[in-house]
Amino acid sequence: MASFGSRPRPNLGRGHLDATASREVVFCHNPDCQHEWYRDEHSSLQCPECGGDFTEIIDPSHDPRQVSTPPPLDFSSFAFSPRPRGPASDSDPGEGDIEDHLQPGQRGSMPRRPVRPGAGLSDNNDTFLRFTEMLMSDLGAARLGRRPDLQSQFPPSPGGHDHHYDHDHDHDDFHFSALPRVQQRTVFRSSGPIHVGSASFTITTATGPASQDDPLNFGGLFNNLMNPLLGPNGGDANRQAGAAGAGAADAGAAGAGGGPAAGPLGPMNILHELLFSLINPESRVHGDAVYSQEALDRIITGLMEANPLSNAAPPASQSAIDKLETKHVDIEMLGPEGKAECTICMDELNIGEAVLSLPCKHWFHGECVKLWLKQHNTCPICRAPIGDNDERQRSNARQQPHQQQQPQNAETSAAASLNSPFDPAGPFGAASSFSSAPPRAVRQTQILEDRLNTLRNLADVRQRGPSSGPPPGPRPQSLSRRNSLSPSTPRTYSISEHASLTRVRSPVAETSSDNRDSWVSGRFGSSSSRRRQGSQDRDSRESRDSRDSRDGQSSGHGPLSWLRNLGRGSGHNSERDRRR
Amino acid sequence: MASQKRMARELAQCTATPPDGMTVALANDSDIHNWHITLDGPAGTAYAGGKFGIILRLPDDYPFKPPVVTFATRIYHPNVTNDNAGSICLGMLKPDAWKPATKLFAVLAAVRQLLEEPQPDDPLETRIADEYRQDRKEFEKNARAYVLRYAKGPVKFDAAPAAGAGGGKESSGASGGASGSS
Repeated sequence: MASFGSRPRPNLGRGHLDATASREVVFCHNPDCQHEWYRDEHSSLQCPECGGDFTEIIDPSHDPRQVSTPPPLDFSSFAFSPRPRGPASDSDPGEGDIEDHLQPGQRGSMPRRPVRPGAGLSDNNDTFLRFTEMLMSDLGAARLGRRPDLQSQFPPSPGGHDHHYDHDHDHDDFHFSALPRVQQRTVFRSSGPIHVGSASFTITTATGPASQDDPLNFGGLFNNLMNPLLGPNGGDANRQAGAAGAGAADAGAAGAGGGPAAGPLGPMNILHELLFSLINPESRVHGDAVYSQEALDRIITGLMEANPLSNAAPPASQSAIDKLETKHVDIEMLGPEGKAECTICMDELNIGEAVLSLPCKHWFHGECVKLWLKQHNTCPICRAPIGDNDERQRSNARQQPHQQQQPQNAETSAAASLNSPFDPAGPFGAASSFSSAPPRAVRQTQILEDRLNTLRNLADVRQRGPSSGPPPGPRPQSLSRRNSLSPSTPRTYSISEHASLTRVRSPVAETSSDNRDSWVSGRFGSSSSRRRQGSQDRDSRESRDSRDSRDGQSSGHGPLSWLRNLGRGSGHNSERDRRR
Repeated sequence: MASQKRMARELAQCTATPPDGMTVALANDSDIHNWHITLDGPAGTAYAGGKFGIILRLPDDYPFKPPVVTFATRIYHPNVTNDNAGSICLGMLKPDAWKPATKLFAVLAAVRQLLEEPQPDDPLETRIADEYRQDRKEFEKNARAYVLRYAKGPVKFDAAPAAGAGGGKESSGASGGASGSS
């Protein structure tokens, strides 16, 4: 049809092929291509335009192309509306459910959460409130990261809601986001019947006023973010993330919270999937956004297939190839039959021919084996690695980053981007408010490198307590996690970091620091050992919590204590408990 | 090119002395990358009496990349996706296990071996794998039913649409039928 011939982005800004008709339409997920064609026009599923093979046969029920050009969302229409939106107009069915569980008496009476340490689990509605808060906070964060396209529709500070920024300074516990659209959500929430939302944004969107004027390029950030994780498929992953965001917009609030399913946050994903399959089972799939393990698996499988060599041995270095011994075929090498062939090209080898011999004594045509070694550093016959010990270690190190060096990567090059969905410092990394970033990165790189070495040599140290040695494994992780949730100002940031450090080191060490720290330590110190092996998820929650606590008295143990408790149980238990 | 030469040699070898119960031919004579193989279901198995079409596709940089082998005929088997793609889970063909010294003869023999001895511990179809382990009678009954339904009569290689594109992707993109990924 009309889709042929106009490169490079043939389908941008024009109609799509009709996927609902009887012919199957295939869509190329390469973000620079986005070509689409009728499947019966080509024998293969490879994209005829760009040659990419991350393509999809479009299922009309969730068309990925809608995601790439999402319809404009008319946010303003309800943002200032004083009337509560009923479930019918609400695109989020889960929200309606939550409303149903609120007692009338609670509506309008809870603009802030009461500080009731330890309470909450006993009270169903309370639990629900806190759950909602957590949901909303994640929602805000997810949206921050995932809807770049919407930023432009919400110019910063139109006159109508300037006063909401004032809240930021008037009330400790009102920490409205500087990001306009999040703030709009806040407005909407506080004007609706459920006042939970206001508190939730206290938690997540403390971006700091400096950020509101910064134009954001979240798309690029997500590329950065996914690239270290997925290699060349970062672009695709970015598309997935974008899809998650757009799907979320369709689904409303609950859907957006599920966004992190496409994100890098490990255990958090699982948690969110759980939450959303629970609350909003019908919103499991929106376009390419998935909220179930099965669907996620499918996407991951697709990504892995798009990059099928990710598990294979790394290429041999040129120096290792150069060091290989050249031999000339002699009688002995021919073996009992008196003939030999190069197992790669299957050509016969004659006496006197020059061959390249590997450390495992297998030998091949030089050209043949070099072609292979440039892809994989193993023997084509026995798969023994080539190269001397140094070489092997280096190649091991090259393979290991996938697992071990993750925290380090996160801290250095990809720090900002990896943290971006939750960290205002990420998007605004260059902004003046975050001048402390570079030295921190350098320092932590060194620390982490040391730690990594320790980790490599003494894998068992992982099991020991902090007093018997540096806690190698989880600490970098927890650091980066915590940082990722820190607010953007240097002051608060340092507190958060300090708290996390001292917390891990010793529960009693930081009583001398300022009283906020000691408050934190009082809350968290006793459980430090659990936290050390705890999930990132819990860590990040606590970080959020701790920031919450700094903001004033309003947060209390809030949604976190019960979540933490639940987190310890099995998945099923937590599900059930959350439901209560 | 060296790889073309090797393909030609291997084709010659496999057509002259194919593994038991197999016949090897090119899909069309001008394309050495696309092999059509017919496999007689090994005697003594539930697949006995069936004729299975297998498509073997050689990448351009074979032998440095593994060939792609798919069943063109539907087959009820723990290690073959139960869909039109017919993707096969064969350890030696996985990118991280492939080595250039592996000959196509060995690959084909391994496919046949897979019919004789399914590997339920490394399944593509977990349900069928479970059935194979726990209820062998039921499994064999189902496998025979599939043979009767799909693997009788002349082998059709076009049953798997665009199998050349790399079967694995098909299973996830087209049908999502693969319940396990291994």
